Amino acid sequence: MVVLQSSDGKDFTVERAVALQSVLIKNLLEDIGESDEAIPLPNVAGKVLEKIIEYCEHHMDDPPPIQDEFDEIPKRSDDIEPWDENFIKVDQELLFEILLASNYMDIKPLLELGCKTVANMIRNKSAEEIRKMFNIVDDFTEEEREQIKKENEWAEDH
Amino acid sequence: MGLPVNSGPSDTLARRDFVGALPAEVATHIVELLPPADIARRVALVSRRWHGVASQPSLWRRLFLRRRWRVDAERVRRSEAARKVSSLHGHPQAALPWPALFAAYHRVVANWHAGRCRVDRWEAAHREGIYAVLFDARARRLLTASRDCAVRLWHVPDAGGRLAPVATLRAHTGSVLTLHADAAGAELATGSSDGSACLWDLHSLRVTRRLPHPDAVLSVRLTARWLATGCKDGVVRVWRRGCAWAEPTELRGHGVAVNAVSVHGDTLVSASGDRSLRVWDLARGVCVHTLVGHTRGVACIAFDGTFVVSGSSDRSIRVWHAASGRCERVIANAHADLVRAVAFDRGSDLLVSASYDESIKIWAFSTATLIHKIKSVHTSRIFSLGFDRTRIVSSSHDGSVAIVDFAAGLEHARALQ
Repeated sequence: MVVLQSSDGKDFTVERAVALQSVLIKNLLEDIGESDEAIPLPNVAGKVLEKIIEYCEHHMDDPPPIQDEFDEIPKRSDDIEPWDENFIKVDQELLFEILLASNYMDIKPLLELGCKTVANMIRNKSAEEIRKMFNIVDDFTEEEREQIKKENEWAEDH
Repeated sequence: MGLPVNSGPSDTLARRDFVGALPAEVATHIVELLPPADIARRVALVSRRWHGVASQPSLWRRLFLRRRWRVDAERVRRSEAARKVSSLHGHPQAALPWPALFAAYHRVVANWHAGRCRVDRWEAAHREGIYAVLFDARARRLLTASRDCAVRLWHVPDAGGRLAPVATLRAHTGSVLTLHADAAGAELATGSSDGSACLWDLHSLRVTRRLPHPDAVLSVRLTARWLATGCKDGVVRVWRRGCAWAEPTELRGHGVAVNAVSVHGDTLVSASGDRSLRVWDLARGVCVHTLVGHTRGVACIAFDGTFVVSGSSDRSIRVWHAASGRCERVIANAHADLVRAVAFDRGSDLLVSASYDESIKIWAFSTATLIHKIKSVHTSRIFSLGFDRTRIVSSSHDGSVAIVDFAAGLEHARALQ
């Protein structure tokens, strides 16, 4: 068993195979060897870590992800498994924290799931709708906006 | 799928700027999952931070390469250097303008699909009908073979404009029916109704060898390893290159004239007036498959090593799988008359056909559905065609050559491969 400690001091005891899905922890365990001491994760709050452990427990027996660096097909985000889709139905705050934590802990499939979820939120929305959804301030000048529209004119024909 | 709770319009929970506030590599990863046109039209217009993520050259490089297209980097750098004053931009390691290259790719694809093109036609490119064209876009070179006994070499300018005659090659005493060059573009093979095939050195433009045949040579193919001919006497003849010009291997089986041959690796495909195609293993010199299905003679083929496309006097086009001999697709009544020329490219999923009905048609290779019909390219029977990423070149019975250009005036488009 491995003990993970969140930034707010909560200890989580998980099976080794669960913890090893994080490349950060995997490398750490290889460096320090066997140890009973808790592994501190100063960037991950208890609420987020709990959610991440839930994901890793469910995917404990998954085959390792396939490297797709040389894939010659466009990426897609409409292929999320039902369990994952349900798991990631969380508020923006938690989704944001899960993305940050999965990036920090280097859990590629979870990072991928988070990115696909955000991409699906953005998909088919106008710039104005995206700003509204994420509460973003439009900081372009009129000239800048016209310049970008002109540069990206090519995307208007289909 | 229900509305995800995290996008509910009225929730009072904290909102987060997922692209602006996440680490750049995560933000890029999110954006890369979206359709490219949406990245340019919507994502780039959200805020300055989003624009920064959406306009990274590395992002557009990956988006481009994932679409299986390639680019002639040297050509892009040269044109960039010519456009800008600073000589730094001509540096061999200079970064490529990936957003602009993707834009060129997107526009070219949209133009093919919408049939948006400019058609230029050169009447009297030859005094009589032009049976064959060979278009080498990289070398900006076009070769034409005519009933007037001549082969002509042309320069095809990138910017459009006139075809410039470079040389006229004369060696045959009858109609030149066919021609083909090896991939390196160093040697040319021609075949004629005078009963001979000729090999030419494309630098000196001299005949290096004449190979006599018992009848008209209807088709020639030249690869790094083989020279193959299809003859009116129904025999396919094959010479292994690099060996002395010994007697050829004769592949017999077709009942009548062999109208077309094509070679990829050690596989040769032949098409005949006997309504069949044959797949041959050149290493063993044996026929592997006979492809049956056309109800009249087969006039033309294209072969990329995996698939064979055939056009016939029965007005149909068929797609075959060479290794299994299976017929994959049939386009019945593809044209209103004999299908005289076919070419295809799986990378761009395009199949182009030309017919005695004077039209050129563009099809989706994978689904065999018609994308566009281009009328008024020629005003008489079309005999031959070739195409690259941006242009179709065709020739006709009336001695004209036409170029159908899907990238007229489009920057960087000619560097796409």
